[in-house]
Amino acid sequence: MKKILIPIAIFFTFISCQEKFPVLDSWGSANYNLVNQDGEKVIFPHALKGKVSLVTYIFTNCPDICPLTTNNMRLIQERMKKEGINHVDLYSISFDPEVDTPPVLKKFAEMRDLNLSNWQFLTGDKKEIDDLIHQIGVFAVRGDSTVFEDGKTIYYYIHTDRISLVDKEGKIRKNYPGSTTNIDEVINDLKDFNE
Amino acid sequence: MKRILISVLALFLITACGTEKKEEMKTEAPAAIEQTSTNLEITNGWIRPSAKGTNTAFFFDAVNGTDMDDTLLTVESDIAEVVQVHETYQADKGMMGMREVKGVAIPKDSTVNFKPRGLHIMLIKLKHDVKTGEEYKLKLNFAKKGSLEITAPVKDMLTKQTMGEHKH
Repeated sequence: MKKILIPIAIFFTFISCQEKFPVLDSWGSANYNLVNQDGEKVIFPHALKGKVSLVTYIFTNCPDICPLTTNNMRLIQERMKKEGINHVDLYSISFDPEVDTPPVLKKFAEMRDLNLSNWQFLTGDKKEIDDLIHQIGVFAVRGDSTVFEDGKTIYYYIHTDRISLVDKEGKIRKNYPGSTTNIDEVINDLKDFNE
Repeated sequence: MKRILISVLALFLITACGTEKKEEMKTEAPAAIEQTSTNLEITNGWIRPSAKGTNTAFFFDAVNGTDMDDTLLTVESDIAEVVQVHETYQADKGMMGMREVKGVAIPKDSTVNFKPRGLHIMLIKLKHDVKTGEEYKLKLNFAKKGSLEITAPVKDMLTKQTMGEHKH
């Protein structure tokens, strides 16, 4: 009897974890050539494999939602450190790569005094970024704009507000509302999730 | 023996993935503002830090303690090339957007919160870095009150999100 129940318990444990963190989406076999805030090449999502990741999608000209999401990532990072969670890396991907060059992303992080020890800001070729975000159902559409005297235009995006929990295989297992993320919920999930 | 094993199995399954904690999102109600004023005032103003050439936002509470409705028309600031009144809104498919609004009603005997995820003053294309700890002057132009000059500090991100509301 005992011999039967133990495999059943293991099986149901696996199933119940799958139910809590089901695979929602993935980048499939695709890889994208990105660069981080220091101009270093990052093959995404290949670079994520082997660690759990939190990934968010932002643009630095965003005055409201993206700073809130970025702040939530920072709060999560601080709680992770406090609670000894060290199996998770953070990534912020810009969907406005024409503006968000590596120096712009670096300055964005510096102005907010962000700890980049396990957090990278990523950008790249526009088509590459568009393909990357569309693959997992993240949208960023140009909305209002401001035209300056010198003819330059700043675009404001209507965009998905999301932080994704990504497993060690690069598959998305849960999405949180980026700017209103419940930090406690994320921390509890990270304590449970190390796949 | 069978009953014990089944109970142990059930308990194991419940706790296998950790306890599902259904905690409410931590939000704080805006600080209560005693409307003892008989004037139209700007309180709790603050600006988010941001780098030269980028955008940021100015937030505040507009407290109208008078018996007259008023309207915020425009805002002026020397630190940005363009200043606009904006609102953040929820679009389709859970997307968030932002748009310019022409004038914001500040009804009599009420407080209108310009807050994250809501109304805000957009400071576009900053002329220099705007750093935490600094202070900047802004001029708010109302239809009836005229101009109000205030000084707002640059503050780092909130440690907790505040979700203001429009009170009457």
